[in-house]
Amino acid sequence: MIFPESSIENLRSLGYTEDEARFLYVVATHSSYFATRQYLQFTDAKSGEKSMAFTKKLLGKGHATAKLLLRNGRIYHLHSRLIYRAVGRKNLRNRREHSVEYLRTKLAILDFVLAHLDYRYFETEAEKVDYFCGKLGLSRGILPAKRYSGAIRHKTTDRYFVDKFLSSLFPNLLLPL
Amino acid sequence: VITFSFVDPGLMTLVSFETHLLAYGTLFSVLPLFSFVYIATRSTHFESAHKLFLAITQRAPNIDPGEQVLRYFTLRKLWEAQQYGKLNDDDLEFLNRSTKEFNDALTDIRYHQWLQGRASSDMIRAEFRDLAPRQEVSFRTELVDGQTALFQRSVARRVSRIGVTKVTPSLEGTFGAGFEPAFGAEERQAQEK
Repeated sequence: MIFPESSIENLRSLGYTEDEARFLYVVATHSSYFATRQYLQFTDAKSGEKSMAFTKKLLGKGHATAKLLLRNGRIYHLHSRLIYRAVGRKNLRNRREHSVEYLRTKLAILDFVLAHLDYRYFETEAEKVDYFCGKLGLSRGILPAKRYSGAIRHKTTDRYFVDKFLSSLFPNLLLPL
Repeated sequence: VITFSFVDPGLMTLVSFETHLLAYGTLFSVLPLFSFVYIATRSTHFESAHKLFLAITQRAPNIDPGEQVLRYFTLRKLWEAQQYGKLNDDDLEFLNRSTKEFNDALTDIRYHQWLQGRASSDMIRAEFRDLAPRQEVSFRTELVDGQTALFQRSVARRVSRIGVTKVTPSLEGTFGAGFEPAFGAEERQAQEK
């Protein structure tokens, strides 16, 4: 995974440490939700103090909200427009509220990304379209798409890869069927 | 290698996975090489997901390279004959793309042979079908934690079956008539006095 210098610098200017900024970049890009255990895994820390300090900072700055789950479990939702702007994703839909099923899926995606930080992920719709149409020369017509109707009659917009599941370029990875 | 993924939402069926594969079907059919990862917090659906993946990706309609090259020849012929009115937007897009894709000496030679009637459409179709590389696809599964414990109502208790004695009800008393517990006997005697 590539951490753009400018995004990390932007996040650091909001008061986060290098580790925190990198973790926030991953979360803002792939899931928008995280659990403290995932932060500890990312920073390779064992102590809860580190995660406490981080989540306290996030909540204090109003960049995230805590969602209380069963048995006092918590997950955090990164919703601040400032954070998404800092990573160049100001229009990302990840900022909005989602269902429990969505949360579970996103936490699983984050687990996968954290376990494979060495992979290069396509992070936006534009990157994916550019790869398939620009680099591979494929037509947009064969990409998975969804057509949205606009407020203006007969005006529609096609969006590609709306599922937002991960697509990546794994170097030299090919397993038999 | 381009790799796609799907995250199992933890439902009982694979309907959402099937919908996902169908949405990607056309794209999968034109990629000569790709890999797929099925990500889940439980391994319950791994085997059936693999079977479904094979069933859908293998039945996805592959674009016939023989037909593609013949379409390119036909459109190129119209373009060179300046019969632009016979080309619609789709044709123009296809022609632009194909001009880059088929930019090699062999295709050019075959085009001129086809144009002059020295190579038939059937010959062209068969040759380009044979030249097309075979598709290589891989599928794998990956188990993730998914922080599932946070969503569970209670911690699942594991009861070890080792050393557990089955208790069966019995009409006989547990202790025989002659049994006298040693402890408490002195206290009872004191109360009797």
